[in-house]
Amino acid sequence: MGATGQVLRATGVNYDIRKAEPYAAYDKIEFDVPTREDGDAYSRIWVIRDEMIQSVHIIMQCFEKMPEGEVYNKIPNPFKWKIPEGKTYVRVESSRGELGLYLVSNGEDKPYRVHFRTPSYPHGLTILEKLLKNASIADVGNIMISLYVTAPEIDR
Amino acid sequence: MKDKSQVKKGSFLKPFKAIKYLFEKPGTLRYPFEQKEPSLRYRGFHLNDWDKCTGCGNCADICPNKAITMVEVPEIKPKPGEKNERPKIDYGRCCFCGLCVDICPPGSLKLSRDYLHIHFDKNTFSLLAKDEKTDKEHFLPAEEYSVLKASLAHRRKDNEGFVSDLNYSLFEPKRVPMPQVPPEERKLSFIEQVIGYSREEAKREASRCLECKLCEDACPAHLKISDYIKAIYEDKPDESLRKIFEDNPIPAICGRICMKHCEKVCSLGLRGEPVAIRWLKRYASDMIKDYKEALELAPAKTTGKKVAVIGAGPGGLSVAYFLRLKGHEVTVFDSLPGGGGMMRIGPPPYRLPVESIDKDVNYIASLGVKFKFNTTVGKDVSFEDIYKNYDAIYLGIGTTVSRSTRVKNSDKAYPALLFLRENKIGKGVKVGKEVIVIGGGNVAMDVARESLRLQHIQYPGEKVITKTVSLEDWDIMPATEEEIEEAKEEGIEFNPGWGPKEIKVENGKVKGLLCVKVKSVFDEQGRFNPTFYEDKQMFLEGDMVIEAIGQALDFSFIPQDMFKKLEFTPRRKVKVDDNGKTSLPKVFAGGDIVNLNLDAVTAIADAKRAAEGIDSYLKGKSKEPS
Ligand code: SF4
Ligand code: SF4
Repeated sequence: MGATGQVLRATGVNYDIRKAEPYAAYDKIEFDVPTREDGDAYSRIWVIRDEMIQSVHIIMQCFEKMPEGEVYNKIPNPFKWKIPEGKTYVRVESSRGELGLYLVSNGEDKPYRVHFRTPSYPHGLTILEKLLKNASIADVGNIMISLYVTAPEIDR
Repeated sequence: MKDKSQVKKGSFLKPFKAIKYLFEKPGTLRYPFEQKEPSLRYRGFHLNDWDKCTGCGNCADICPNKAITMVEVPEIKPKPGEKNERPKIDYGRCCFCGLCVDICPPGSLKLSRDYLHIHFDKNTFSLLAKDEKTDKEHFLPAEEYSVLKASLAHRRKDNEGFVSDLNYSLFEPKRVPMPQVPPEERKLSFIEQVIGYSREEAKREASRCLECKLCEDACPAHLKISDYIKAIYEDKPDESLRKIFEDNPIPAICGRICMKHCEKVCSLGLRGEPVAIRWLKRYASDMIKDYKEALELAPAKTTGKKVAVIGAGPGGLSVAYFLRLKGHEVTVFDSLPGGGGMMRIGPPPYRLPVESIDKDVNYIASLGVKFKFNTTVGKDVSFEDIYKNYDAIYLGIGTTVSRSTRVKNSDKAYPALLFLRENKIGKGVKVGKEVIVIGGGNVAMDVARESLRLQHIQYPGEKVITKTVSLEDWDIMPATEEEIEEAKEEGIEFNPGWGPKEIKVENGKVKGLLCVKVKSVFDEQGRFNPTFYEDKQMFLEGDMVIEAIGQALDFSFIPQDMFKKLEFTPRRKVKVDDNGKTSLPKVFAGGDIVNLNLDAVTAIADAKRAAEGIDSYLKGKSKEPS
């Protein structure tokens, strides 16, 4: 169904892109991936709560391990920096789940097509639709909030 | 009951409680009478300083939304190296990312802190950004400004927000430094001063170019600069050389001594250092050991027409190259023992080694151009003979005689060209221990620096000095800044602002130079007409004086009756038409004898034009029954 991030981890699946395909400096940093078993709103909120602790933990480690040096580096000349022809998909773990970027280039300095795969799209449409079935009206708010859907992120 | 009255009382008083808010600071803005003050680096509508904008179009290229189009503004008269185009911004597309500000080389484009745009006419949403300097009416002082007036027609003055900062700009304002032999070492011998870029350095330098092509407009020969720089960046020096050879067949020479008209206008030079265009050309020619393989050029089918080129300088070489590619048979005459003309005798070897000249000349010879060196036209072969035997003639002669100061005893002074020539191809000159060079131009710098090296070679370990005296003060000295700087580094003494008065001679030996202080060099009309303070004098000691104050043309090889028919411009240059043709039938000309700009690349530009002219002249002639 496209569930990623806390929504997935709240169902007991230990999956985090930062662990599965470490990017940036995540392979140099220690952190846990909190999970819960029940897959309901309550577990999602707890996963988020635990992740906050992990995040603080990560930031503290970054401060310790950050190398000395220039903060701002000049980027190469944008007119000469051509994007090689072809297409690519890269993804990171965002605060809401998998954030992916699909990019098609025809070898020029600007991409030909760019599409963002945002977590709010599957969470907010497909999953919400499933979860809301037979739920009581009073729970709708909690379910929606715990899915962490952001309207502008749904379609990019 | 009790409850009821309480409720009543409350509801009766409550509206009056609101009165207290009249005296409190409101939580909302009373728009449109009040406006929110945007942050200092706010990115609102564009401002563009039209005086600084060069019309390079980089902003239009970088815009990710294609919001910027360059429109021609007829009222702007472009200076050389500028275009009369200005960016027009479509606010339906603009996302206010500010990339255009970061790429703008002169920093003319800015984003203001204006964010309101009210107008009845939707067309105004695409606006030609101006600033308060060029467009005073539409910018109101901050106190007169109100939101009611806020529209494109009324913007606030002094309201710059996001401006360009060189530290964060999208281009690199600093040049990759060129490795050079240090002054202490280089003044002792004639080794080439500039070592040349390595592959890495060349690529890094080439990556700075923004491909705006302003330089190509400024280059007299309109070389495809951005293309050949791009090829270097892509690590294809042979491709780069092919691009260069389309317009310039002597890259090894030009890559060393060109006057760099292009670098003077390079966008990046406006706030930083220009792209090292000349060194990159030199790099391309140095990287390729054998031009022939890289270029794969071959002359067209032979036409059977014969062209004589007099003078194997840059112009003569280029004309020969272009005509040979068109299939004509070309013979080049020159009095020197090798090709290059003034390039062979002028620039000292630390700037232009003879091997580099020969590399270019040999390639042109390998295309089938015949060279007749050591052949002085008018002495070894007469101009009439050439005139009779060839279908067209190109005069590519340079300035071959030195001007003299004509002060007292100036016959004891050494003429600059003779000095350079003797050193390069003659027996060499015995220099004095204290040499005085008169002149402030590039030739004077060459002479002075060459003399210093000779002194170090001829008097090793002894105290020697070379001084220069020039009429011009520092600010108007005609030599390039680079040359002056390098000469200073090597320890040459400068005496700017002094004019020569008399060369003191004792027992037939030079003792020194008497100088007078210069009042002004040019008169009110800007003509060269120096005046002096006769009472302020200075005596410079020295045992040798070299005059390097300019050169003149020598036409003595052309027979009198023909010379009379040759027309001249008011400034004593040969008059030519758009095809490079002179008033004499079948004689074309270019270079120093036509131009006021006495440099190699101008000669190449003339040669290109004349080659076209000669080609169409010969083709036209072959059609006529003769
Ligand atoms: S980048 Fe700057 S100088 Fe070039 S056209 Fe745009 S505003 Fe003018
Ligand atoms: S060398 Fe300079 S002026 Fe020429 S295209 Fe590159 S950036 Fe523009």
